[in-house]
Amino acid sequence: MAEKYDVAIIGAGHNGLIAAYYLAKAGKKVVVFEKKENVGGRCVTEEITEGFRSSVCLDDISLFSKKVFQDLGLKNKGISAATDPLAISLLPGKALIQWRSPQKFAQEIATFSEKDAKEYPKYHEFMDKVAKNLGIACAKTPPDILNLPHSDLVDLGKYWLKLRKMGKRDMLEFLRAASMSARDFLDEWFESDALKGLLAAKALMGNALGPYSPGTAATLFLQHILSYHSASLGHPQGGMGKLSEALEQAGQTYKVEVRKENEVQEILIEEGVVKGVLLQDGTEIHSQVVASSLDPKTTFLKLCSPPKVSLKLRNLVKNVKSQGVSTKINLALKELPHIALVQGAEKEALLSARYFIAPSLEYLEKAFDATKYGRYSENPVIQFILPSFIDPSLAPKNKHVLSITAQCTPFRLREGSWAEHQDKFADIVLEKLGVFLPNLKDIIEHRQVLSPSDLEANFSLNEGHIYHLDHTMDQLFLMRPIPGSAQYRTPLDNLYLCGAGTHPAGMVNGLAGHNAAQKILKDWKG
Amino acid sequence: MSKKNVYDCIVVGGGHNGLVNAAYLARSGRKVLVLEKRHLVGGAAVSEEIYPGFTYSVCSYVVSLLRPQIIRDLELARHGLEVLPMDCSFTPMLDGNYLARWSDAEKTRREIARHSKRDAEVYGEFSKEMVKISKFVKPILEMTPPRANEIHLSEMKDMHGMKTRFQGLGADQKTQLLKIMTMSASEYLDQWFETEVLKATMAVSGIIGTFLGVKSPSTAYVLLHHYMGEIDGAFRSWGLVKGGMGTVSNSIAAAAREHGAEIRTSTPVDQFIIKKGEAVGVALENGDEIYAKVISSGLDPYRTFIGLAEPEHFDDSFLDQVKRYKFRGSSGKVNLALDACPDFTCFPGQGMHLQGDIAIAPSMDYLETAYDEAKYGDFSKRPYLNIVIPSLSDPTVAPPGKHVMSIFVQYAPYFLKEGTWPEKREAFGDAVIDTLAQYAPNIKDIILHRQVLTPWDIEQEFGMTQGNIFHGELSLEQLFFLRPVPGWAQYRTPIKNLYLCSSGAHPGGGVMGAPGYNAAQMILKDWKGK
Repeated sequence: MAEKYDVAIIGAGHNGLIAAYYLAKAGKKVVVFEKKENVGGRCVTEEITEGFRSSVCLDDISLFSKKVFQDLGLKNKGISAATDPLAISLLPGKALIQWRSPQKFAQEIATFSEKDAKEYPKYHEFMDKVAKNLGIACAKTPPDILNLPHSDLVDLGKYWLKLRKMGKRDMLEFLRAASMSARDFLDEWFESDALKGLLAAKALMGNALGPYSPGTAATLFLQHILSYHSASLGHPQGGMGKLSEALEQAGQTYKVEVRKENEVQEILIEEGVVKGVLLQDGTEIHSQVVASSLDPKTTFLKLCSPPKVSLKLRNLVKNVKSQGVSTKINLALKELPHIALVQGAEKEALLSARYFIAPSLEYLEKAFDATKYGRYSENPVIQFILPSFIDPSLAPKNKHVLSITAQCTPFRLREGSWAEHQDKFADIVLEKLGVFLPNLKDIIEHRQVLSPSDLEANFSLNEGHIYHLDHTMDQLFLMRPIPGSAQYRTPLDNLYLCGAGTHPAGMVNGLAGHNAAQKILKDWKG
Repeated sequence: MSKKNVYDCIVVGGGHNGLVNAAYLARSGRKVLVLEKRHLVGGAAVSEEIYPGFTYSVCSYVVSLLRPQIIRDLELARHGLEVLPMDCSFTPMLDGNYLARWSDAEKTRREIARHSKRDAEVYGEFSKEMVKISKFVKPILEMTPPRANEIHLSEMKDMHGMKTRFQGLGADQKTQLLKIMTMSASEYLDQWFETEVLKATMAVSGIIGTFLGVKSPSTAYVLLHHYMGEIDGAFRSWGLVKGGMGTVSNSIAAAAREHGAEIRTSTPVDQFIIKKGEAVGVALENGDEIYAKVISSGLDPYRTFIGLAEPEHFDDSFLDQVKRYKFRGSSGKVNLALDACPDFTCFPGQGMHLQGDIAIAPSMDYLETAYDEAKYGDFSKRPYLNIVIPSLSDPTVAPPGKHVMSIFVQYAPYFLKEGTWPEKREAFGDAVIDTLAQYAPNIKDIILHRQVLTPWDIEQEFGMTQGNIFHGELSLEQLFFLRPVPGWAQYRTPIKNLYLCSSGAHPGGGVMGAPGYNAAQMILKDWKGK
């Protein structure tokens, strides 16, 4: 007899673990299957070389949902509060420091543009207004646009009322801006290249999109909404893996069973109804519901045997945009790197921040241009942090790790493979960084380069996309991942999606796991 | 100078929408006056003899979406409109191959099969799907957009109708519709086809007149417009107009006159006369003042609200929105008088393949590269060209044996990073001819006369702000209830009795007549309430 559970979850990434927690808390018998020996998925800490540990894939939890954080009681789990400043943009001879307080940030902006300094607090206020009113939409199942059942029409009506609450002018302004390009939207507010470059870079990270593409203003809203409703977290002591461990522990309270090194080979489907999963070792597990936190492509195209999934569904899934464009570079450093532009009394605080090389919208767009033709950019967009500065446990005494994410590096190269190109690309990135971190080259003990191809192999990310799917207009809200399947429920009965490829977004926020669990519980009652 | 209301309505601008607006108002018994700045009516839809013996459709060059109801109501055929169907869409390639799509479906299927058997199979299915989806979109062109922030009873009805029609679509079409509204033309076509030249030829309809590339999200939507093109009710037809595009305008003008409208050319308007927030007339450049109960503007939103009215009549937020409304023209036009017919290397001779439109659009990368050059402020060195040779099907536009060639060119950004358009005009023209010469090498030897129109020239000549041929970009944030500005998409304006009937209003540009028609309905509706 096969083992029986209420819910089997595929993948112990943060969304899988969060969904498991909520389901178990509601009394369900939940098992989570994880292929690797550690939980976390994209949120893991691994040793890059002896004595140096790094958040090897994702390294940012600034958007993690406040609600999930509180529900799961993560408060005393060694996750520090957000750094202040939030971000620093490195520019030739100058740095733009984004302080947490909009007013303090505006003072920094003034050195670039007096006009923008005046506008920024207004911009921030408008974005806050949108976030305040529409935040609820991120923590709920999106309406089913194909069938529009009565309850979903009611939801849409509620969102409309929320919009109206913003006042006529702001409501219409938001509706207009939602489909704009980030460039057009930011150009209406600001004149400073540095400011616009930084704001867009933060929102566009991970996506195969340039700021001139229509719909990219939506990523600015998305980022702001998630940030507004986030727990304002900084860095987990011990790296991203610590967060994942904390999530696993939270689940244990309600007897969530996490089976590591247990890879799911296939989702068991009988006449269109999902019955459980088949493990790599041949074990069959039966469950009422299967929830996959893997990306939609892996879920439908790899884990479901082809005859069980309709051709239409397979085609729709095949066509979702999931080409990864990010490369992760983790460096082990002999000593603290010198950041030329960072000096003075606030140096300590500044060194804890997230850094960007994204000097203008044109720079971002040009970097993106290369990806359209299957090339990597010679002038990539780069962000990095120095986690060991806040958390010395990650490196031997007085030594450091540098965690770098670079774009735009398309998974599908037209010429050659990533194995051939990744070192060349890493050299380009280090060259760029060398302008601002002059001693960097001399202090590298070891470097780990993870191209989109490596990210796919190491973290089960289809085409190496760090957020599973692009945050494009046709893949957000009621269309993420595909129209009619944005309700976490899939066309296969009893199969749910609960990962980054579902609403609201791929950036580590935990809401997909939260929303999917609520949806499963609601359907259960029905 | 009489202050009496001499006219019921003055239409400012005798472009095709202004004329349609005037014709419908006159038809319902109103006393209408149309004022046109140039010496002829038509705006961008004009025929002019720029070089002796050769008639150019100087600006717009084909008719596709002119509403059939307008053709019927105004009896345009009787007034001289004759549309000549285009039998072929021909895309030459540099490797000696080409793609030709014919009005004969079977012939097209065989031709596509030469490139890909699979695509040939899918092509018919694709067209059917598109037609189904366009049937949902088409009624939207004829409706007044809702207000969005408030919902009135009549709007509820419209919205409910839209919802019902949406729900009447199958799940597949719903999905396709949602995708097509948001995706790029390139991604959307990638889902169906594999042949580069076929995808590129189809994708261009998504970028015409817009400052976006085929890979930019939201460009798929305009693909639908192709399938909505109607001639006498038949789906999917494009056509040239006998006598050039001026015939369209002249036939509408004739219909308007027949219904009693008065049309004055060479009569530029200086500004609206506005009293206590109410439009009461217009002041001409020659100082005359003419009064009317209603003023309807066929000019674009910028020329209407900033050009013809003092800022004091609007609140700041409205003016701010008008100033933010995006024009940034991206296309140019080259008109040629030719001594002979061009000869394409990949398909020599003067065959049927030249009787439709000819696209220089060999691949998606070609088109996207053209966009990449332009988006940083230069014209494309290897642009997308859409060419027609109207003289092949309409002998009235050129002397026997000679030809006129109309070349639509993209991209030519209004805002250049370096230099000015008058300085760069001829270099731009050369780039166009050089590009064409790669495919049809004899072109350089047969040019008798060349007219180059940059976006700057289009602005100067035709009064279209920043040379945008659609009176403002057809991007999502400027469509439907957002066109031209949020809250004012119902043809009314903040000035009482002033209406907007141009392409700057819903549903936008193209020689369609819909804004002119819809605005007339709104004016008449408001009239009843008086």
